[in-house]
Formats: sequence, C-alpha cells, structure tokens
Amino acid sequence: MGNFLVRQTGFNPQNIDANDYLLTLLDEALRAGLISESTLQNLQLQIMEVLKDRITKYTSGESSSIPVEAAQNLLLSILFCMDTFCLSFPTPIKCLNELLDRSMREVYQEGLALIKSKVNEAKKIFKEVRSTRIRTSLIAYNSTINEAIPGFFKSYDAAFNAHDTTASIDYPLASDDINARGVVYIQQYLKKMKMENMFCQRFAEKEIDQLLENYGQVYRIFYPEFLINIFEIVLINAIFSVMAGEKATSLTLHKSQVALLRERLNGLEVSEIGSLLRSAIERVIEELGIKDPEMTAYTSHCGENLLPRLINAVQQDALQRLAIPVMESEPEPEILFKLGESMNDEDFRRLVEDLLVCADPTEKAQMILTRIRSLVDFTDILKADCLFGDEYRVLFDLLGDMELSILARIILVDELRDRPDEFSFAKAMSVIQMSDTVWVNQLSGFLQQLSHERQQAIEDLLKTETGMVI
Amino acid sequence: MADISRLIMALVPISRANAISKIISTNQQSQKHGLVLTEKDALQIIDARNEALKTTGRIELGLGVINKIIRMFCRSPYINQVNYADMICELVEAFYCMKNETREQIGDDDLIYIMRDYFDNRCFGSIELLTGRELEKLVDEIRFGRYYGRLDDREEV
Repeated sequence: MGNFLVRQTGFNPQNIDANDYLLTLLDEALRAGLISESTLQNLQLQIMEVLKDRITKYTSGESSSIPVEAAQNLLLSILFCMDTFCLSFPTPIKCLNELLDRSMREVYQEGLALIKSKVNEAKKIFKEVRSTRIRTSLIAYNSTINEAIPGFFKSYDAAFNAHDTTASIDYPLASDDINARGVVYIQQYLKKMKMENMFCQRFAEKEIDQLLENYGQVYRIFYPEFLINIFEIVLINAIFSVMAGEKATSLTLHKSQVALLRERLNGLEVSEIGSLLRSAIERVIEELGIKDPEMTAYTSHCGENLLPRLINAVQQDALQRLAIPVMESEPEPEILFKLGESMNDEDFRRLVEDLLVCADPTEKAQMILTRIRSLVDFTDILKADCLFGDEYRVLFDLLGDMELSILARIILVDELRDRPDEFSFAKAMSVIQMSDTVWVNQLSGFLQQLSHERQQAIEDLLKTETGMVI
Repeated sequence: MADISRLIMALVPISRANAISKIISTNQQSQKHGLVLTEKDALQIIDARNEALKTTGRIELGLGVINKIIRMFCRSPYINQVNYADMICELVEAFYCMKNETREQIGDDDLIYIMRDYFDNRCFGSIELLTGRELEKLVDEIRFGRYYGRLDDREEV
C-alpha cells in the first residue's frame, strides 16, 4: 500500500532530512497530500503538549515560564527522541502510518526508551574500544578514550538534552558522521573507533609506532600532539605496501619503493589509478583476514576516500607525503672507536695470541676490527708487534675516513697544535719524519698514497672537533 | 533543521476570552480587600504579560502566574483600587525580569512571596526600589550562596 501511495502522490523520500526526520517527513507528507493541514496541526499541538510536560518536569513544577532558548532546547531534545523512533522504521511511509496510529506522547516515550538503550549499547561498545585500544603516544587518541568519552556518559542527559553531544572529543576518525547528534553520534563514533582499533590490531605495535614517527618526520611535526587518525595512516601505507608488491601487514615503505610507485602511477589514467587503488584495498582486506561486513565496508570506504588525494599526490609529484616512507636520517658516521670500551687484559692477551698464530692478513684485520672497540686498545695492538709488512695496509684499508683521521691526529699532533689555521694534510704528510715506531711509518705511508679526495676528507675531519675527545 | 520557533510560538497564544475570565475570577478574593478588576483591566494585564514575556525572552505555559501575583498582592496595604490594575501590570513585568535576573534559581511561588515581602516591608510600595535595589541584593545573595530559599511557609501563594 505504501509504495502505491508513493507513486500516486509524488511523495518524495529524498525531501526528508535524516537529521530532522519527523518534521520534514510531516512537511513532505502534507506536500504530497498524504495528510491534511488539520492533521499536521493536530500533530504539532500534540508535540507542544509533550513540550509542556517536559517544561514542567524541567522546572520541577516550580516555574511556569522558562527562557525561550531553554524551551527551544527542550523541543530539540523531544524532536531528537521522536526522530530516533521514526528512524527505527524501514521506510518513511511505514513510519508515517505508525505516527498516525499513535499519540505524539507515545512516540516521544518510545523514542526516549530507544535513546536510553542506545546509551547502554554505546557503553558496551566503549568497553570493546578500550579493550582493543592502540598503544600510542598520540595525545588526542588517549584523551578521547580516557576522558572525553567517559565524560560524555557522565554528563549525557537523555531526558532534557538528548540531542546534545557535548564532549571534548579531539581524536578525528577516518570517516565521521558529523551531522549525527547526541548518543547517536557517540554510538557511531565508538563503532568506527572500534573497527579502526581492530584493523590496527592486525599490525605490530612497533610497526605502527615507527610509521607514526616517520609521518612526523615527513610533515616535520611532533606527531603525538597533532590531530591525526592512526587507522588512516596505517591503511594508506598498507595499501601502498600491497601496490609495491609487499605484504599488507608490512607498513615499511622505503624511499626507493615510493619512487617506483610514483613512476608506475605517473603513467596511468585517473580511471586506472582508481581501479588499481580498489584492487589494492581488496587485497588488504583479504590479506588482513577482514570478514566482518561492516568492517569490510568501512575499510573500503575509507580506502576509496583516498582516491582524490592519491590523484593529487601523483599530479603534484608528492607521493612521499601520502605513502609515508621510512625516513632514513643522515647516516651517522660509524666510528669504530668508542670511549670507555677497553678490553680487559685477558681478552687483549688472547687477541694478541690469536693474531700471532693467524697467517691471513685479511683475517687478522677482521679479528682486530671485530674484537677491538677502543682507540687505546687499537693503538696498543698496533704497538704489539703482531702485524707484519703488508698486514698494516690491509688493516688500514678497512678503516673509514673518520678512523684514519683519528689515527692521523696521533701522528700529526704537533702540526695540528702549532699551526691549526694553516694546517694542510698533504703538506704535513710530505714533511713527516721517519719514526722509530713501525705502525706510525706504516700509517704515514698508507695515508700518503690515498687519493686526493680522501686526503681532503681526512683533512676536513682533522680540522673539526670530531674525534678529538677519543 | 525545521524552524522550531514557529512551533514554540504555538505555545504562547491563549484564548483571550478564557484569559479574561480567569483574571476576573480573582475578584472573588480581592473584593474582600476592596479591589476589583474590570475586563478592560484584565486585557491590559494580559497585554502587559505578553509584552513582558517578549521583552524578557521567555515563554509561559498558561496564565497561572498572573493569578498568583494578583492573589498575593491584593492583600498589600500599598495597593488600592485606583492603582490596582497598573500595579499588577508593573508587578507582572517585574516578576519576569526578576525571574531572568535570578537565573531560574527561585521558583514562581517563592519569588512572588519574596516580592510581596520586599514590596511591603523594604520598598514600602515602590516597584522601582523592588526591581532596583532589592533585586540587586537578591541576585548577590544567590551569587554568593547566601540565598537559602523561603525559610517558612507563612503564607500560601
């Protein structure tokens, strides 16, 4: 019967606003001739009667007048409860039939009961949110779970303020229904937060932490203080990981992989990028074993929301700001020698014995480099007469510029001290005197035959403070 | 969001004939004190009430407050037949104004009782003093937590 009416009267459900359901439904029903003007007025008068009841309850019967704003607020609360009742019906026509069969007082009471049950449901979901929470240092995420949501449950007033969503929720979801109000908003928020948590649970905590650190580095922010959505960042990298031929669970993308992806995406049409994205999302869902239909839909929806940003990133050549790569910081010069790591005497003696019995220069050099960590031990070994001839060169060959500059500082200490401003490595090496110590002669011979570039690098290091304290 | 103010305004209109008859019905009691309201007076009071509600940004369910004010103040020695209707009009306006200023902290009955007490005993019939000096004191008492409500129930409103 309902469908028949719709066709006959031009009743258009599109004209009904889900966030103002009852009043827009009645307006549309009147426009389509499904109810008369007097029926509408009667229903409105009934709503006003409900408002009178609420005002009396609100003032505990002590005041017959209230400020208009308070009355408007109470009316919004009543309409919100009634809308919740209306939205429990599958179609607007079924809802309308029900409204015409009942008094507005009943509609309000049933709506209020639904709201109260939603509060209980939301509390249950919140428990699940807490039990699946992501361990993170993101302040907004933690404060939302620790303070904002419990604060909402504490202050929510279904009787007089059911439509109100006063809660200081800072954590942004990947996809939020900002038009929803009251407990309906909180319920959808928590449902989505739970799904986001459960998605992130499929990844190692360390991986997520590292990804967020990288995100902070890419955007040059201290990420814990920013309003970012963890799920979205994780989902995006999982998608790109799949696109790069890696597993969805691997969130680590190297710059080279991002560069390859950029090249690959650059050559594609927009529609091709779209289908590539969709198939990557499908693979992510499959690989992560997401079976729950709601979670599948949410993941797909949020993944597909990425498309405009992806297209933009490809066009602007800024893919590395979307697919967060591992930020390799400038490689720290690895210094072989460290302070305070001298070997004990017994270990040192054992090393000398091992070196003496070993005949292979490379093996001897490796032995020294793997077992010695301090400059003092290193020079002691050089002085211990356990290297012969070319074995020095093989050992020095394995040292980097930093280590060589530290050793050079020992043999050039006078030149560096006397004329620091005019110091020239090449010049100093050309005038260096032969020493009585074998390793010093071996080292100066080795340094002199280095390429000009390496000599320059060593000179630069000698002119800095680096290595001076070692 | 639909315009809910049009729904709110539906609360305000009260049948004028009904309102007049309700106000006139207070004559039964006020006559004992030599005071009577005519239909014209009743209309004047209704208009004053509607205007005061508009000015103070309030809405009211029914006319109960007017009758409560009349019943309380018809016993005041500072009201006579000549100024009766005008005084009731001014007291009605003062009531909504005080309702706002005291931020809903005092119920209708208590406020009407306090108004009468102050009107007779502190202001000696001056509504100006009532809505000026005394209201200010009352607001301060509420703000600083020194208002403890009506301590007795000497007179029913």
